[in-house]
Amino acid sequence: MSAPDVIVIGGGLHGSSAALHLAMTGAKVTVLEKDHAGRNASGVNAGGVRRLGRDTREIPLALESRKIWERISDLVDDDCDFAARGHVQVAETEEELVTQRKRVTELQALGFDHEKIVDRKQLREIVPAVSDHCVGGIHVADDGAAMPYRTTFAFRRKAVSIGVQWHDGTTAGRVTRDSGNWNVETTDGQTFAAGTVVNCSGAWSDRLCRDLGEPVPLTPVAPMLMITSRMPHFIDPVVGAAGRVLSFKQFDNGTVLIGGGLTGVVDLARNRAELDVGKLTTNARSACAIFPNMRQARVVRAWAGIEAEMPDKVPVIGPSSRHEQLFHAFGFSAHGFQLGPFVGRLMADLVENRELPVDIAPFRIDRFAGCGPDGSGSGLKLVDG
Amino acid sequence: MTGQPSFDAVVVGAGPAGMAAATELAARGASVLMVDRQASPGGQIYRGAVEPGHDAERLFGKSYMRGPALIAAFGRQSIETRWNASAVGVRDGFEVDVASPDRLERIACRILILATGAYERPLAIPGWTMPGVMTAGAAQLMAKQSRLVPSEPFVIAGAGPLIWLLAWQYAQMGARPEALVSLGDSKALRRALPHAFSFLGSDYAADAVKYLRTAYRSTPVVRARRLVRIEGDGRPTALIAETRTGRSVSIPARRVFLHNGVLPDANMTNALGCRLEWDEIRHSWQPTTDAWQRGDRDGLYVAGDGAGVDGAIAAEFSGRIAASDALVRLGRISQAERDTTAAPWIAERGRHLSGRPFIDTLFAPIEPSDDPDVPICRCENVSASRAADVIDDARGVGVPPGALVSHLKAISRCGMGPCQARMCGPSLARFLDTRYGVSAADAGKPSQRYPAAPMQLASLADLPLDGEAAP
Repeated sequence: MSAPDVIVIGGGLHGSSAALHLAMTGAKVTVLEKDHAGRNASGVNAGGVRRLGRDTREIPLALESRKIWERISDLVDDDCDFAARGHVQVAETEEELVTQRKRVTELQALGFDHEKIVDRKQLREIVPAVSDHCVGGIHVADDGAAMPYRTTFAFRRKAVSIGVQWHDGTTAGRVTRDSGNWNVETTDGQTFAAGTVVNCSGAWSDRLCRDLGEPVPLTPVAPMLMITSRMPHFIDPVVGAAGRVLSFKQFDNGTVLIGGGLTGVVDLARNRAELDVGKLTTNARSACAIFPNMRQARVVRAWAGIEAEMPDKVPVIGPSSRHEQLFHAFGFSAHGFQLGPFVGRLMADLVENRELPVDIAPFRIDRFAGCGPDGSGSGLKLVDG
Repeated sequence: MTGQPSFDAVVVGAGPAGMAAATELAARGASVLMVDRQASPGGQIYRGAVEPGHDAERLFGKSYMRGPALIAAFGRQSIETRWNASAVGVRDGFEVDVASPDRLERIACRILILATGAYERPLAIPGWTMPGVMTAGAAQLMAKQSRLVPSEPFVIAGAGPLIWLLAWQYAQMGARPEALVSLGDSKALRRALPHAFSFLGSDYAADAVKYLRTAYRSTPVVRARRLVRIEGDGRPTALIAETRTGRSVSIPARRVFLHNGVLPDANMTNALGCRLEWDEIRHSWQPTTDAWQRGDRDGLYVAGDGAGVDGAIAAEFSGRIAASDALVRLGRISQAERDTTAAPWIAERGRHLSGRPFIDTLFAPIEPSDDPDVPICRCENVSASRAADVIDDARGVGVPPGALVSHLKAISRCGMGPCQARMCGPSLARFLDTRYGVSAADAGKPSQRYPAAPMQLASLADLPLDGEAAP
């Protein structure tokens, strides 16, 4: 096996997607994954393919990614169970609805018209089971959802099928640069060398950044999800709420997923995420408040996966600020799944030095320059996970 | 949490181990909460023993009569109880979530005794999910609880001592199966022989002779290599088996009782993140425990069949031994007192363990069916062929052995249903081993998520949080 052109560290959705897009342009790619594809954030997230409610800086990326989702089978030979049944963000008070109207107006001024305001009556046409007190909301009719692990695996499978070398259970350790080449030592004693390194290692990304002199204030967080036993079909779109942390979706098999971002406890040393059961109660109350029929539901399973969150809630995407041929894509907690297909393509564009279809300046890594590892000095407040 | 209910000890499971442990703890003044899924004490083995009836000894055997005595002793102590309740979660510290039908409670305790017992390993053959097919253990529970015997022609089939015991108990109740189909290969006895001497010295030997003699006198016994399928018209009409000589036999029956040995219910220990070891002879995951039944957390004890299936009498003594050590930890007795008190129990437990290696080796679980259409995962209706397709695909892409179980779960939903792989886990472990050479130890145990048993979302929503008044 000859030396690769590119080493991708991290085999989650963004790493798999980057590897696939790089290999599609002819690059020889090696992926180093400490566990296996989709072990953490990429495999256990809520699967939202969502533009609704995004930070305006991310919207151009989300719009591009949505185009890929529309034809996801063409890319990875698997439909990833993607279906576009809409997303709704429910307003429970007139005040929340006013804020939503303001946001939608602002988006329109920026040229984005995917989010629409729905009134009380329209909301009930879209979500008949919603509680009486809800007054309206924002609707994106062709947002949707897919199966996260299946998607991540499909990207991996396709990448491997076109020649990507994949190493599971291989943890990248020390990374050094030597006469134009990167050397990545793994904790099991191997060394991989390549001209380019792409860092997609999620909640573990900050280690590499720190070692290479560009520390970032990344917080590992563990958003929790729970799923119920099967219920009669009562809802099509994915539902969130303006005033609550909630994401709510019924699968074809009748089970209902309740999440939204309330976080458990991260144990990075043991590679585990523990539930914060007190917050599960808050989540259960939110679900029951918006959908009173959910009181009868039975919780079957709850879990949490480890994700990376940046203090300003948008990811790091782009070249290193200090080193040639080093690129980063991480920090997507709670909003990375939809972006994965397109961000992988962006990484390939960056590595191949092609013109980029969108502006990634807001995501540059040196926006945190000069800050401590906890974010101090960046002018940004570190959010308590 | 303010105002959180707390106890010296929470005991999960009111079978022989749990009852004995709770009784010993409470007798020395410890505050104890007992949590059990059933409506009354006894566990599976002493089901119906609260009011055993005058004929219980004749019908269920002398050993069953230990049950009423244990239950009476348990009842004499002041022990708080939650019946029809599940311990759905446990966290270090300890904090135990107890789900009753109408509410969830979050309870603190210093000592946690898991006496969760055992459950039957499924025997997945074509037709096993048909109404009218149930496990031999479930049939036995109906007999113990309500004196129910099958009113239609029935057959008992599988591997394990329970099928012989059930045949004997049914014979006492005047019910005769069409056949007792005993599965196993002819070499099992030879493998078990080295353990025969210690078996003959154990209490099991006399019972075994009695059950075997009765079964052979009252019932046609078919020695079979495998069960081919259950034929039916929506309910069973016949069980097809292949004898050890390779002959196919069809046994007409409207009820089929299957058995394939029993497994420790290690759900709670798994949920706590305790270390589990794969036992090659018993084909099961077992939590690691020491001579005092201590688990791998301070204050945790795993007693009875939940720590490894050793039978009801050994379970009772292991519960008492665990309690004696817990009492030292609680400062209620000295270490010297513990040693004196526990010495006879340790001797008794040892005597009852001596027969197990023979039984475990003789009654090894049978190989899974090679029929591609058999559902491995009953909750999510995942067939063996579907599982094989997903695993073949994953192996083709290079998914490592340790990730196959979670991969299969995420892709096919095998193990994602309400039972959380309690049922399909063992079948899947055998499937991966026999078909792919991936040992259970390499494949790993399916992860256990909160809650350990399904619970109402409303119960979770109504749980008072910090600073809130209880409803």
